[in-house]
Amino acid sequence: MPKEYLGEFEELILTLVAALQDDAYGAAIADEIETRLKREVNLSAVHVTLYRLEDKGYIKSSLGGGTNERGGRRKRIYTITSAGMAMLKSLKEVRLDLWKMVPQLKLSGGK
Amino acid sequence: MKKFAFRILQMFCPPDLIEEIEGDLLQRFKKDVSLYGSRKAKRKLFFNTLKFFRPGIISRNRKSSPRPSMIRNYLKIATRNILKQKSYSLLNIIGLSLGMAASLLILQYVKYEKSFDAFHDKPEDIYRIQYNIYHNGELNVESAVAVPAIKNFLKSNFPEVEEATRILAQAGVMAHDEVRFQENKVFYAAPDFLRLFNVNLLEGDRAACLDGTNKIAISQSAAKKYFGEKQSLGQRLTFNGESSFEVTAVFEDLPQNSHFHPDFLMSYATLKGNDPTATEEAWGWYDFYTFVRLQPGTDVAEFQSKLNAQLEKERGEIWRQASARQEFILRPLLDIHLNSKLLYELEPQNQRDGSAVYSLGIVAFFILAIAWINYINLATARSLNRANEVGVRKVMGALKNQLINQFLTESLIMNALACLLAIIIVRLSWSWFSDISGWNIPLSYLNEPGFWTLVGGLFLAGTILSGFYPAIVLSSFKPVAVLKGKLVRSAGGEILRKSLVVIQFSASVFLIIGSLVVYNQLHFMKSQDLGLSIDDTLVLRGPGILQDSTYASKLDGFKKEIQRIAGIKSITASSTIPGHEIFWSSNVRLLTSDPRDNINVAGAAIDQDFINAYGVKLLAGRNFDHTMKHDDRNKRVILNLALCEKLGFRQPKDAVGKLVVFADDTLEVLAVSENFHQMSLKNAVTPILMGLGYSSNFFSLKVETTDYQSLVTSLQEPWDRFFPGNPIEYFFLDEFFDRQYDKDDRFGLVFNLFTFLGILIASLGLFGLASFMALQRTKEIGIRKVLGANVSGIMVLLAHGFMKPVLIANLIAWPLAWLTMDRWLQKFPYHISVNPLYFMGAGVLVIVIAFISVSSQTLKAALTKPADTLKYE
Repeated sequence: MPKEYLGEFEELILTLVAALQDDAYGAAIADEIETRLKREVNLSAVHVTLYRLEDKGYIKSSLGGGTNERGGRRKRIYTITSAGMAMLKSLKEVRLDLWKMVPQLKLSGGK
Repeated sequence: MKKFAFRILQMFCPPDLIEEIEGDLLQRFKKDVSLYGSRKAKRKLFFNTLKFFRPGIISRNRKSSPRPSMIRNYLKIATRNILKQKSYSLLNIIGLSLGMAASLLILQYVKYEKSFDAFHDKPEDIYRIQYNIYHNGELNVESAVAVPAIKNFLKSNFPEVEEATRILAQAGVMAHDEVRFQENKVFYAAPDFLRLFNVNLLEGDRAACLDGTNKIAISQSAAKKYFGEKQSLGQRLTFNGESSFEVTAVFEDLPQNSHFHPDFLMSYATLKGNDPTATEEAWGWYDFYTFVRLQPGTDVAEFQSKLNAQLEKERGEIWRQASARQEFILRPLLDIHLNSKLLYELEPQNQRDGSAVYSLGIVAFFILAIAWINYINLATARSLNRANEVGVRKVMGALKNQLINQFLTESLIMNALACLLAIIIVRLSWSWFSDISGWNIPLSYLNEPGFWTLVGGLFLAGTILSGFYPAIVLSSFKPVAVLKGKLVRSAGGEILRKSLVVIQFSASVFLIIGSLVVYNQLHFMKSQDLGLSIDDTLVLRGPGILQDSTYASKLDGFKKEIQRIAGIKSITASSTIPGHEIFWSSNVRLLTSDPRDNINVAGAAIDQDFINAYGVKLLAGRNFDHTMKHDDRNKRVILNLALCEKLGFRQPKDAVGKLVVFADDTLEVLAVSENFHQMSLKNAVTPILMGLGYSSNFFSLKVETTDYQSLVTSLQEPWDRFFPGNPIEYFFLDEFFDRQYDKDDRFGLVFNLFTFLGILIASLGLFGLASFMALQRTKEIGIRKVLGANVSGIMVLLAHGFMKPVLIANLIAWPLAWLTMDRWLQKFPYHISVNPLYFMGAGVLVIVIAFISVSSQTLKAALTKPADTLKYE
């Protein structure tokens, strides 16, 4: 069980890095958040969070190829590290444990 | 734009991050272009770039980023330095905080004035129709109200018009049982009004409440006034004793920053019942405020030309026959409050002059600049004291960057303290300030994020602008020269300091001249002879409920009765009074002239006593007399001189006896009166035509007593007897008239206040500078005294250095102030000329203030015994 905490936004970004695999870079992640979560997001916030996650060792990065729509500028592609994966898993387990504590009766028979 | 944004990015972003960030920004930009179009996308790109200005980016992987221990050290040294020179720090902080507080107040005010009507849905797409009438190619009328037909014309011809509505303003007595009040925020409105404007219904149904006849929606405050705690829905209200309405909705009062505040909305269908063509299809009478909401993204200029073309197509023939032209111009709703000065504005007393508001913004900038200059001046002036420190630090290995950081930290702390103080000042003075300025901005305005952004912005700008230059200067001293004691005041620094003082005092002189001119212009307007007398006049608002065939005899009876009351010189009934905008206007021409040569004229109905009671001078002809009746076959009228001249008469007496056509009636000119000021001197005298009539609008009583209380009591009984069912309402005419100057007075006051603040801050700075200089020259003064210089000689020597910039400041400010104020005065049809005395006055005042702030310090220096200053040598 890691000692370190992840903020809600950090967790979101970390999950997306894991999910997007080879296509995980700043703009793509921001797009994904906007289309899937319908949530306004700041490009700079995504970048800062990515850097922070990298500093914490949950993700690592390398420069990928540039495309035309980026004016030839290269992307920084992020991949999740095993520490990051472990972090995600443990987070999920904790959530699940807590979720199990919610009385199911209340959920279905609430009305 | 793109290049510019990226250049900014490169300024603060670590180089190894630039490529990926720019790439992401570009990618996002491409996406935004397809989503929002290129203009908005460009704006977004710019802001997205700016958002990267955050610690997580700026300080990433920077080797030079200061370590925490260094920061702690900076803070410690800065605090020590600030505490070491308490009076100097205090001067600085007070100056800065006053400057910040003043500009915070002003900027909040400007923001508030700009917020008008922005609470509606899609306010930028809403327009009000301005109605212009041309006669013979000459623009005669520019009005806020338009003809009824234009609404349907817009709605049916143009798909771009999403929604359109028109309202008709009314005034009269609203009654519910015994509760009666004179109301003037009453409108006829159709259901589309509620679809266009954000009026929050508290009770009732939005679609149905104004649909159908005899329905009324009332504001929350009106509901309280008439029904108290009772349920309002379903109650009945009677308007002017004739139409009865059922209350179908209660709406929340419109916020203060709305350009109009209806209390009653009566269903338009009620009005239509009387005469559907007149209220829907007429192209003649213009009494309707018409608003449209266009589809988002409509090009207004293009729409306007389409509208003009369509109008030309349908109405062109009719226009040419009358040699007239009608123009309907879309004016943005958001511009009404600050930039609209048409005839018949809804609440002209609440409107503001945009340029006056923005000029206050400039004042705010001046004050802030003065405060920042103080900081720069004092900081660089003290550089000699810090020179040794810098030298030693450099010898010990301090880098230039570190020294800059050190000095910026000091400026940061000073500005932070000043900021804190400024917020406290603003908080404490807010309500007092709101009172005297008449701004009435709710205190809650200070809790909005906008305010804190502003505070943050001022703080950052202040730190950087005022701190940067001193930091550069101080950190660039050469250690060898400094430590050898060779560093003499650099001539460049001296010149810069003096030029900054010049700027400060130019701004002060400018502000003083400005306030002198504003004050004198206001005084001039109020003291001019109006051409009629408004003193000692009590005005009763005429009865709203009446108007039957017996009114004429009732009025005569009432007048006779009132005249018998002691203390009343005369009473006269008229449709208008000075200071009351005339809503009744029509066309007039000579009977013998071409029917198309029409002149737009305001009409007034007066009785036989009006001319004498108000002391209006007749230049030719005679007054109405009692042998004439208002319904005589041969109607006679009195013209004012302006109209007489417009009709083409050389002499007033030439006009007497001539026939004119006014609104289809042929009338004989009985007399020509001297021009008088119907409205304040902010308006030029316009043509007026006065006819004999029994008006029920205003009764003006000329009084000879000061015991108004008992006078009003003695009026009550006859009033109730003659006009039962009408509430009695009265006011004093001079106050009523002067209310037109209310906002100008307030503006003048605020301007003076900030001028004073600006000068105060500038002289604080000068005081600090003088005391510092005197301190530096103590030895020189000592030696001079030993060699026989006297006190006054030394004072002159010291003061001389300061008076020169102040004098130069005058020379710079005078022409600037002359140009600006002259242009300002040109806006008034009756204005003073810019008097050289104002310039001399401002100059002398500033010199005196500067001298006082300098001399106390120089005197102290000059009086010091030479033995005290020289004994350490």
